[in-house]
Amino acid sequence: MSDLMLACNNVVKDFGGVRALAGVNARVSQGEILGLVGPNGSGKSTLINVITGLHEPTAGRLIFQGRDITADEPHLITQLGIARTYQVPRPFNTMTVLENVMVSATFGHSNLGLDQARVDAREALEFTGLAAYAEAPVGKLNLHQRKFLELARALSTKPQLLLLDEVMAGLNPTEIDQSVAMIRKVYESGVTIVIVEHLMRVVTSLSTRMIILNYGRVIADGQPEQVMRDPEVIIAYLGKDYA
Amino acid sequence: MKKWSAPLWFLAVGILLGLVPWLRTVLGFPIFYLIFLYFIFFWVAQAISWNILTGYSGYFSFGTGAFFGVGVYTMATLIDKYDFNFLSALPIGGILAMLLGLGIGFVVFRLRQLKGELFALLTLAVDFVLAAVVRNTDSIDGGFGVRLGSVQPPAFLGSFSTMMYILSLVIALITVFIAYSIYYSRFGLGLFAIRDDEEVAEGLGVPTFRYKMTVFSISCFLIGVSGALHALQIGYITVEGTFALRVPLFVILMSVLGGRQHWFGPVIGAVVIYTLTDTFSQASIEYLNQIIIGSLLIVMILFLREGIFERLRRRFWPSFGLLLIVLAAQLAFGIGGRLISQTAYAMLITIAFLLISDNGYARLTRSIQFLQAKKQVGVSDV
Repeated sequence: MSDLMLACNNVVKDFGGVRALAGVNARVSQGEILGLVGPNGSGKSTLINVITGLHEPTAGRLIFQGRDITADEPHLITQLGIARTYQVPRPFNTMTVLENVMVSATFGHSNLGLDQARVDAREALEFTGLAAYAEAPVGKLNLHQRKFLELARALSTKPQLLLLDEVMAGLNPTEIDQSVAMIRKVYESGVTIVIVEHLMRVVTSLSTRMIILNYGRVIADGQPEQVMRDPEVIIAYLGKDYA
Repeated sequence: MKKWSAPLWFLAVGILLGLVPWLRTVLGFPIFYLIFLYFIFFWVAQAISWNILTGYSGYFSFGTGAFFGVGVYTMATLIDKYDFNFLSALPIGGILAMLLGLGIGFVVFRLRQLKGELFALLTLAVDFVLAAVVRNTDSIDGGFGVRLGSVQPPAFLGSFSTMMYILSLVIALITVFIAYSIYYSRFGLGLFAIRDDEEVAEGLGVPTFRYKMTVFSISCFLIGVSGALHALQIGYITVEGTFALRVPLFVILMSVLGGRQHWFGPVIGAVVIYTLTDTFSQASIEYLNQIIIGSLLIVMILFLREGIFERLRRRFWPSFGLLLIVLAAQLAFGIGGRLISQTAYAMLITIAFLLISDNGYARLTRSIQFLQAKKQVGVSDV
């Protein structure tokens, strides 16, 4: 394995009496696309929320590039190089598309001035194919474009680690192909990616490694082919009869 | 986009308005106009400071009265009990209001759930608590009110009303300039992101806690300074008059009417609302005052939620022309009473014009253009 980028050491997260993450141990290495999958409620989104600092873990440690980020505030974690997209796009509704990306461009990385942020934001819009909508209000974008706006915002923070939370949910096959191509392009530019996805076809083809979560626990970790054959994974997805 | 020449424009406006007290003696305006303009500047400063917090960051404050009250009572206490120079008491009023804001912010802004109506209620509660404290503290008020003796204006500021006019003008200009600068800055962009979705803003790198603290303290400081000056204008200060809901309600009304999303909106709102209230309370229709202002608020919320400023910008010349025509007509026929009332009526008619929806307005201009074209082609009129 190449350089370790992110380590989740025994991460636990409780919401009231519900244990969403029951001691997750996971590692992300530089230069991989890690597929994070699991049935509904298995803790995928919670894990992303914990990594990005939105929720502080109940127990456990998060180490990003040798630095303990467990108790850091989300904006700091973003500036250190972890970006994420939201499953349901959450654009800033009173702003134009360009302004949306300017927020992340100016705050997400190294405290850029607004002029430089504008340049970077345009670049990110160009990359995601939204350049034509730069001056439009966000309300003019459809779901597919909003998902790409999420991606543009995340990219403009110049992340080293990008967490994609179901970027393909709700898209049609053509749009999915577009997204896959785009994710590959991002990956080739040197960004390490963690992708949460329900579409198994997409994850297995994109990922270089997969982690399967169930009931807040890692039940399998390895090459896609190997993981898909794992009896415990088959039970989690299909039930005992198929194992 | 921010213009490099903006400070010069603010300075120019300041100098022009600053000359008014001296022009007044030349032109023979009654002194009443200076006091009227003092109140306009006071409300502009209050409304804009409120909007820097609420319009920009989305934290709806009902507690303007508390910070205003801190300013008022700082001035009252310092000059009445400690013989302070009132000019040095002005910034102290601001600083104390700011410290109160920082204290509240430090507790409140850590809890991300305290947004919307909870934040509004909490700030309102601070206002009530503070009123009770002041009423029961003999060294500040003690329930009997504070009567301020007359202050001696420095020679270069002329008479008392000239001085009040100039000082309130300076405070209002600085406040508006700060609002303008934030609006076009990186700080402003971060605040708007907080307003739209705080969690996402934080996730994209905006230091939300620090930004909220900063904007809250700026807002409180400005409210406090403006309040401290206002203590001199009131003269006789009571707990009931200071911490009452009048100030917060008016400030909210002005910002909603003018428009909260733009830095200039509350200026328009403050000018319009104060001119209207002044008119209706002078005329023998005082009882109509609150009815008219209240109905105006209802109409605004129903038909023009973004405030009049946005539409005024899109239809500037037609609206401005209409205002002037109505004003000139009243002057020509000698109706409408004083100049201020005539202006108020002209404003009401202009607002009615701005209430025409964008679609309706487009249809109107199309018909006018069509009629003009018809005339040019030489078709006799219909």
